Amino acid sequence: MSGPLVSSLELSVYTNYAIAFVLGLGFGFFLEQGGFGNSNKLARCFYFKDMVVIKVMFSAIIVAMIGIIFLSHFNLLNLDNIWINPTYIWPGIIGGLIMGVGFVIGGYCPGTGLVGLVTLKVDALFNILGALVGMAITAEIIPYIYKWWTGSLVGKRTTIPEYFDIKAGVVGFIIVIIALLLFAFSEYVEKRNNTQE
Amino acid sequence: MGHKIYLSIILLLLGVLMLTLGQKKEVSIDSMITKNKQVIKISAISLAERIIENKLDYTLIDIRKEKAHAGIEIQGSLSMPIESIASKYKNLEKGKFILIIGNKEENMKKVSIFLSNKGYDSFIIDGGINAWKNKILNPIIPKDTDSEVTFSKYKYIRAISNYLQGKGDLKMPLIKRKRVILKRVKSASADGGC
Repeated sequence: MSGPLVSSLELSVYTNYAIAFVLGLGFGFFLEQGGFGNSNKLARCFYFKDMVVIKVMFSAIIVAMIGIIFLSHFNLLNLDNIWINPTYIWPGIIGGLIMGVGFVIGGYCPGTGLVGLVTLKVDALFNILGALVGMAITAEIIPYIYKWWTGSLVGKRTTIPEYFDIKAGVVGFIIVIIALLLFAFSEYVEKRNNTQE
Repeated sequence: MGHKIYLSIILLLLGVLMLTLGQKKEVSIDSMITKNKQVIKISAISLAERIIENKLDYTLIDIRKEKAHAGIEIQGSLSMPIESIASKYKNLEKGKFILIIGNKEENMKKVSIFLSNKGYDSFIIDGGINAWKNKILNPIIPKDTDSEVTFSKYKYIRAISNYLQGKGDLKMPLIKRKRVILKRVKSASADGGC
């Protein structure tokens, strides 16, 4: 038996939904407990005063990445059964910019916005409403820009090792080094900016 | 501070260990699970029409052994035996539909799922090479008692078949049909009754 269990155990759609629901609750709970439902705390990251967002996100990224690389190498995980979003270059860049600007202005990303909403924060409510309006506008615009939108497709399942034709372990090593440098940088700027206050 | 240094060292060691991992082998196609997985089928006639229309939006791969491929070779098909798919699939163009033909439906399904997982739009030919042989190359001549629609369909497929085998153009062949006078079947007398 190998992962993902959802595919090797051939679970039904409803069991999948139930598992997703429980995992979602857990994810939201730990985000809230980590202080990610507070826009002030999240926004402090952009002023290099509280880098916990960067630390937590990069910890999650490297834990998942190391797990996937080792488990799939020893055939304990079938990477083919893991969903990977199709890669569109321009929509990715522009969407990323819009989300980044929205994060700086509103203090929430979509996930943390929902966590904030659960704890009844008014700013989170407006943030989520704004996101919904933005999605509706985008959905209306897409038919007019569909050709451009789908024109920069790189691949339906493109990963960094495949794209650059290098081993997954090399990419893993580079990301680990980036994470370590980022952690050290975060510690440094936090200490510097908080002692100045 | 101490635990942060320990964690960093562990992380670095894991990173170095990842560097030493070799290139991962492809998952064998034989191990693909086909149960409960849907694949999209297209008919042998649709494939024949695509070949005649000279459409360039697809690649047809034949997953039978090379000898079998040489025996019945479909126009424009690439021989890619199922055992070689894992090493050769990267040569397939990603923007094109991949049509898969073979002997066994199970094998075609496995290849289709494998290619879909790799980001290709893949379809299998319903009935595989047998459907191609029986429906396109040697379509069954309808009986004289069959309907006009069945005869028209046969003529259409026969024209495609002749064209693909270099035996003629796409004109519908003239097929004389014997006039059959259907005998009126005498209705049986009602059972029972008063």
